[in-house]
Amino acid sequence: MGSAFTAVADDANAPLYNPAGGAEGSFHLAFTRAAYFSGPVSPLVAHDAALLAAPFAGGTLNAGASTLADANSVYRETALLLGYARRIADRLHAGFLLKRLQAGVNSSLADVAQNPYFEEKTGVSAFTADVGLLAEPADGWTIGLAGQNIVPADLSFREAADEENDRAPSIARIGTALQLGAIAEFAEQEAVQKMLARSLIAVDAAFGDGTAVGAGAEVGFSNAVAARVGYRYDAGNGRLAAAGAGSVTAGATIAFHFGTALASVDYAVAFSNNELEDSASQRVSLRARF
Amino acid sequence: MKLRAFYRIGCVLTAALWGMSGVLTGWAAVSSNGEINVLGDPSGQVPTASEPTLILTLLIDRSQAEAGEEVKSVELSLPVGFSVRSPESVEDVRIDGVSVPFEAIVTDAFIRFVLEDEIDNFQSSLFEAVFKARTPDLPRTGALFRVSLRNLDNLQIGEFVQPGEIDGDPLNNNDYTLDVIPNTPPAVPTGFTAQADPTGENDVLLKWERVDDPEVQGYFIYRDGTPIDLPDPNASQFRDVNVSPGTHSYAIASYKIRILASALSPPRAVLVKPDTRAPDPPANAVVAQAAQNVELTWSASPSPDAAHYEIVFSLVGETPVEIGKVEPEQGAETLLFTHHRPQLEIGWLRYAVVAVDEAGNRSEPAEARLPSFAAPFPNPFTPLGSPPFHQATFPRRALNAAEGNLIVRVFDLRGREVWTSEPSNGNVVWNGRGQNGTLAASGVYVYQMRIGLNVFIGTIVLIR
Repeated sequence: MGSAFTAVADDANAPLYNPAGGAEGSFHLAFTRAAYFSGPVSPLVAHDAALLAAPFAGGTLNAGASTLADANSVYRETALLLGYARRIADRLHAGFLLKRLQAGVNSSLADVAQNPYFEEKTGVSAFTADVGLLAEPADGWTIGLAGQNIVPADLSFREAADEENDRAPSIARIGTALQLGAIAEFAEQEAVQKMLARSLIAVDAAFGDGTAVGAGAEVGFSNAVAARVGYRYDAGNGRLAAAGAGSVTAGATIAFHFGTALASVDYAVAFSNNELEDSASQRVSLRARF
Repeated sequence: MKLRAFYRIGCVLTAALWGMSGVLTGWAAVSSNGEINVLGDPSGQVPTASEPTLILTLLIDRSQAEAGEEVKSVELSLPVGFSVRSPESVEDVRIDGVSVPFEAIVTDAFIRFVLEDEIDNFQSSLFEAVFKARTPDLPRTGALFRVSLRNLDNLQIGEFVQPGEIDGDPLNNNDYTLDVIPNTPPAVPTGFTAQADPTGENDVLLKWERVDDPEVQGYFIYRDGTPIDLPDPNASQFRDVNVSPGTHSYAIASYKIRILASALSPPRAVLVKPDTRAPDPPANAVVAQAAQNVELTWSASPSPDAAHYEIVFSLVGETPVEIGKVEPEQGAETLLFTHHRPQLEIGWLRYAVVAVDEAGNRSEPAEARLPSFAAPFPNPFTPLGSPPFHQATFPRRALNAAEGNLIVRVFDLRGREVWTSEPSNGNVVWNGRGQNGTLAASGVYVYQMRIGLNVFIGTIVLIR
């Protein structure tokens, strides 16, 4: 869906996009692997996340961890996440997510052991936080706002001048989503009405680490099968004068219902229109609700 | 011009005496140059009323010589006031560095060196005569000597020998003139002290008060009676390097010219201990690949007693092995060691150079590393750090033998192109900055190396 999830976040992955999101009233579990620029088994870079959402004190407690590592085992980023979201008004949710960010290099490598830059440390960590709001102005229409890394988190391995430190970028996200069930009544065929009731469209924008816009649609063919398409454009990173990149995304979900419990497998692929020969990134997510 | 006219007249008269022997056309066929110096002093000065040892040096070129131009003797005309006591005042005559038998004829006006065996070859010969000469009682400048060559019939061959640099020392006197200066020695340096080096070197540190006399040209420092020439009038200290362990006696004298020195200062005794201090390490070690060799260069150790340099090689993590020695070259600030290595191993090739002094003390090594990789290196790299880890090098070797220009593109994980190289027929280097010079954030970047249709993709990690 072109990563347009700021106003859609409704499962255990919600805090990654909007801490105010989440599923109320039940437990959610999600394991996700994002594989950058090659297959999901042996990617050049893998981003794995495990997230849990559970009812707590009238809201939802979110917890999890994620790790990003390259195939050469040179570098690893990890994030420990703990958040909370709850309804604060009739149609308004709010949430926050505390994050402990860590980055480290493999000290057993000669290029690390021999480099005096790593004499003092081979890893750094910092705390930061995300906050978010999720509003529902009308039935089926949501608007999401999120601020990521709102607490400055310097991950420099060495003391550096202010312009050369390595702060995690602060990002503002805004998005909106519309459940197409609201317009289902305009369809004449019952099958189409049901399909629209399970479908949505969303748009999203992010500002901070360069501007990005995304849009996507999800079509639910049944309670067990859904498909998504989207487009995302990352404008050039102004700070680096990097060239922008657009990507087309497509994905599908297959769900298995066990009474009130649900398990699903989600797959998505994104193709970037940059000069990279192998520009396909993939994501596989296993989700459960019980 | 007068000399030339005189010479022509002489030629005509001599031809008439010798008849039509064919000698006529050969008179100017022996060319010579020469100079006169005080033995052991380059200044071209002599003290009044003294008897210094002089050395006459000539280069006699007989490559175009003809009959009648055999060099039997060399005659040196003495300036007014100069004299030579007796034939015994001539100490030596040498041809091409070898002493030869001779007879000296001394008059008030000249001294003639008559060779037992004339010079009759057809090549250049270096003629040297060493003799004592008395100097005038009064100072004068530009006292001019003249030199002529004479044949078997004691006739002058050609013109007077021209002045010029012949003895291989362009800094000494290069003609036939000497200046006669007053025979007044300079003052004895005061405040002379001698101290063994306190840091463990077997050196002796000498200090004195500089003699405030503009005519002083330098100092003689005597160690156990043997002089060390220090041709610096402004010097007030000296380090005597690599002195053998034991007790030594030092004294100092100033000089105007080498043969006009002051009396010696009172002696100073110094106990020198064995050298226990390691030399200062060499610096600026740099290693580079050159054809089938690896060349290691470095700046010489600042320690004057560095006797040689040991070169050590290893792959990083392996046991270093000594692969050669280099002797320091006089005055050379940069030294070179060539390691023949047609095929490089994969990894960081570590070279180290160690300065070793005469006592075997070894300095800390100066290290240089040569990367030899088939993938970008170092990984990770640290743009804010020090070489060689401050930039990433993308080696052509990663694309095997592909021919053409190498282009490297670097992307962030959102697929944005962060940096693109210029086409290169060698390796490509990325300094971790975007096209506008801004430093990229820490993290994993995806690179794509391309030569024609050959592509190599991987990740490189930047840390800041």
